[in-house]
Amino acid sequence: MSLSYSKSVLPKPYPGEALSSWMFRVRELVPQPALYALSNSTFDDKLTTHGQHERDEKLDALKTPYLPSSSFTHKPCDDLDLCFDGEEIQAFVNAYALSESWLKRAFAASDAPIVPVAYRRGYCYRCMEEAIAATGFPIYLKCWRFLLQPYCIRHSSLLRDGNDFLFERIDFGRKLFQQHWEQHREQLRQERIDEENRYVLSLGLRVQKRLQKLLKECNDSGVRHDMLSFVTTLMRITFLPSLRFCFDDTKDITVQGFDEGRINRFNNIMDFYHTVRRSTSAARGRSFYLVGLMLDWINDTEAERASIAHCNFLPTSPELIWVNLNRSVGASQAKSMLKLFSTKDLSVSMLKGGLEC
Amino acid sequence: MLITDHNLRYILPCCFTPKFQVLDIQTGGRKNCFVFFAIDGVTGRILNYALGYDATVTETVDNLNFIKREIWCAPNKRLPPLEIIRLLRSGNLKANKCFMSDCSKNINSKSANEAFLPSSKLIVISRVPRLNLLDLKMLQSFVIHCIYDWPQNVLCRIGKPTVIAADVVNDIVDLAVQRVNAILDRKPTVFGISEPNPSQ
Repeated sequence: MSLSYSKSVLPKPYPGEALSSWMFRVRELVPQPALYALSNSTFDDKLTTHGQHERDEKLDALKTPYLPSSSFTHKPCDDLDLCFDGEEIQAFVNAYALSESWLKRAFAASDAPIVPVAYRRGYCYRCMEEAIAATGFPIYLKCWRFLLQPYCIRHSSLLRDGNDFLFERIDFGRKLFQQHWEQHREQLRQERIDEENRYVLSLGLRVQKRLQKLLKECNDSGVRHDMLSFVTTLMRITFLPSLRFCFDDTKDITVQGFDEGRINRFNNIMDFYHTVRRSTSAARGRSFYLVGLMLDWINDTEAERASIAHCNFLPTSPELIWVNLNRSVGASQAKSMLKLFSTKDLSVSMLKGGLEC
Repeated sequence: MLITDHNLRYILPCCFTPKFQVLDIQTGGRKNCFVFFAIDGVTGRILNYALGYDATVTETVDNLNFIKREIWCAPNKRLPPLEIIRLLRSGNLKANKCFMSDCSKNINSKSANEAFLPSSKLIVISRVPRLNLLDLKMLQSFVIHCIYDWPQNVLCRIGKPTVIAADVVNDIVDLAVQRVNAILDRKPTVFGISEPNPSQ
């Protein structure tokens, strides 16, 4: 039995669109093949009762994509944005007779560090508005998953953070957009905070732009990897407990993940590596400001001008950062790594303000 | 002091206990794991590794202390020291300990030549000056960094970071080894101890 649809019917991917977002649009506009593929699964005879139950849930989720798929609740989440080998993506490829190599070409991300799917929250509302105007859908962009891009370059604004419990939705982009409107008062509050922090935010954005420029100019993949590791390590340092006071005015530093709760433990090396992945866009934006100070990309005068009234302790010089860090337990490991990842453009020697190695 | 022989490889056994647990898909249970690395004592390259499961933390830490004091010495053609890795793969730490203690009779031998017999032996690390050119602390820090600094293709397969599927843990360690060896290919002296400044 042949599938009754034409390939030309499938919508073209929006520039920078994440695979999960495009999959959702395709299923919305051309739902039949996916349903056909699942309901005629060749594994029918091998399915256990539990397997059948899971398949039925997936079918329901596809038929009514606005409801959460409860089958994800107790399983490690599938990353439909970046993991192309997953079962669901394979089923999608087969159902719509797509070429896997084309899919990877169209949706693969660069080697930049990412926010794990369980912590994806960030979005730019204005980008979504533009996507709606172009396609009719609030599209989710893959660049919002990049750890070192807490700001939307296109609109020069900090990404907003969505609700903790939306990340596993197959209609993630749409739910983010919907939630943005449902929490109108929260958005007004956020706008007020952004206005108060505008200088700090603009300095953080400047750091992100400068870093991206350096990365773009770098042709050697090894050096590029070292640069990414250097900046990520600096960000990890800014999330050490001894610098938590720098985030006093940030509502949430980390987001709730998969079965983890909101507890910030900071008591072992795992937290040192993992906190940055869990961090909100707002926290990463603040972290970039601190990284800029440490690298001397932001000078003391600019930092003084950017001081925030309700965050009196926000450092305005790198010395104030290092004086706290040098007595911090996790810092020594980080310092070794910073030395190791030093390159011509980003090195330990550029760090200003009293790094004691 | 021992005379070092360039035909011999000096292999540092190094054991590391990650802070995450391994998910047993079949039983749904969680297991502690440890990773055993055989590191070339001169270049810093990781020659081989083995993953062990189900050891208690105390056992693993004891084991770590036990093996850290020694270094494995083997002829070039007989690398890596597969015997010990095979034993660890079986998950039987006690067997490993027995094995180590059997060989450790040479450790305190006063005869320098005895430690350089053609077969693999354990020798005391401080007795081989050539090995002091490697900054082990830095190397170990980097190995640990690579174990926790998960690349994109690993991150997108991890749901809960404290309990990771066995195949993903294998990939994490495998990628970590690749990264360590890759950085040594690019910068062979990156873990070398810098010579003291003559002006000081």
